[in-house]
Amino acid sequence: MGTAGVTDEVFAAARQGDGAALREVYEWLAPAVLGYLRAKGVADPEAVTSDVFLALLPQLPRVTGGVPGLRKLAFSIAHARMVDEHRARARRPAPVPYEPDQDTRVVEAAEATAQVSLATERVLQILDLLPEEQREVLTLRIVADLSVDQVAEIMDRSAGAVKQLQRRGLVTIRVALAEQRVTL
Amino acid sequence: MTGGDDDQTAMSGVYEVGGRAASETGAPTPDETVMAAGVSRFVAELRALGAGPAPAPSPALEALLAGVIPLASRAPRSFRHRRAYLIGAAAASVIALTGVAAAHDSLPQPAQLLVAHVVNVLTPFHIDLSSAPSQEPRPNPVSPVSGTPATETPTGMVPPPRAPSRSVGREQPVETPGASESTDAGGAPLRSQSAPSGGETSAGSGEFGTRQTQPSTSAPRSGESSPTSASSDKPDS
Repeated sequence: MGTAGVTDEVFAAARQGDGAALREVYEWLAPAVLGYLRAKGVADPEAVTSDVFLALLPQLPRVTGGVPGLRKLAFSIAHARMVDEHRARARRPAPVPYEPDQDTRVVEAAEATAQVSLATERVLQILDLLPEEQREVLTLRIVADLSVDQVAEIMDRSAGAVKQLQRRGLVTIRVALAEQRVTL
Repeated sequence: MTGGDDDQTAMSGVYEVGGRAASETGAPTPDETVMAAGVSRFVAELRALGAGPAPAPSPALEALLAGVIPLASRAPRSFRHRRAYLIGAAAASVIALTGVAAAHDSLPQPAQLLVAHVVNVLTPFHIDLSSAPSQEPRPNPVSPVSGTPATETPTGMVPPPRAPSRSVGREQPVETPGASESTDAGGAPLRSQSAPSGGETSAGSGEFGTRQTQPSTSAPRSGESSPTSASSDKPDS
């Protein structure tokens, strides 16, 4: 995830609708959006990532705040889509067909895939220990690489509350690691 | 970008957890060091979640990235929204102005009654229907043929012009110098006044506040004859 992946010139070109600049914005932001959606347990994070950019890119001419404003808007949309997806799933649980290759109880994945998925599984296992708001704060702060103020705006909380949630989340993780409830 | 600051802030949050434990006990114990390292490792792995390659865009997004769908295609939508807002604001202004006019009895009689009824039914405000012009018999002040006052008193005095409808039931007539009172055949007091001298018209003293002190000198509405003109048409002599 390149934090300096998009320059002001590229951003200005993307606002004008330049295709190469739009693709560069997508290549820069999409991995973080995808990771955020994965960390939040969205069922189909790739599809939701495309939905996020379908909503984000037409709004580029109206984005204020430069590149940081673009990043904040992207995760604001991703946050809203994540909430919508969770609500929809809570109302109507979607049936998922059985996929044997994803059943870790009976089939071991390939070695390379296993290493990546195990790391992801460990992270998600630790995040599952946290209350929803602490998980949201840590995900937005670390995966989305947003500032405390930006996270506060997205979550509609104060900056002090975000700092407190972050501190409590890290304490919870530290205690869980000390009690060997989870391992890294 | 906020990356540099955020890195420092996020990591300081991590180290704050370990550092606080270390400051409470003096030097960090090996377990605390291991725990702080574990939290740091968790943060690194969590950060790695967003470091992979970009997923393949959906067909709709691919079309947008290829420039098939211009970004400005949604501009007319905002224009439509702005037009809808303007129309709504204009409608709200008209409704508000109508309500205010009805509260001041400034609307034509049927509209006044209708608006007053609607306001009384649909809103918490109340417009007094008894002050509506239709509640009071309106005299025919001028004969259509001769132009003389149709309701001339036996003494030759002309009844004062009908006060504006908004003052009905609210203003108390104040006796003014120069005004004399007489009674008609039924014993009802009639107030008359000599014609204003010096060409004084209500326009000259026609401020709203002065009407309370000199109610009978207010100008009649257009189409009604003033006492002055009535006197000139039919002099007492």
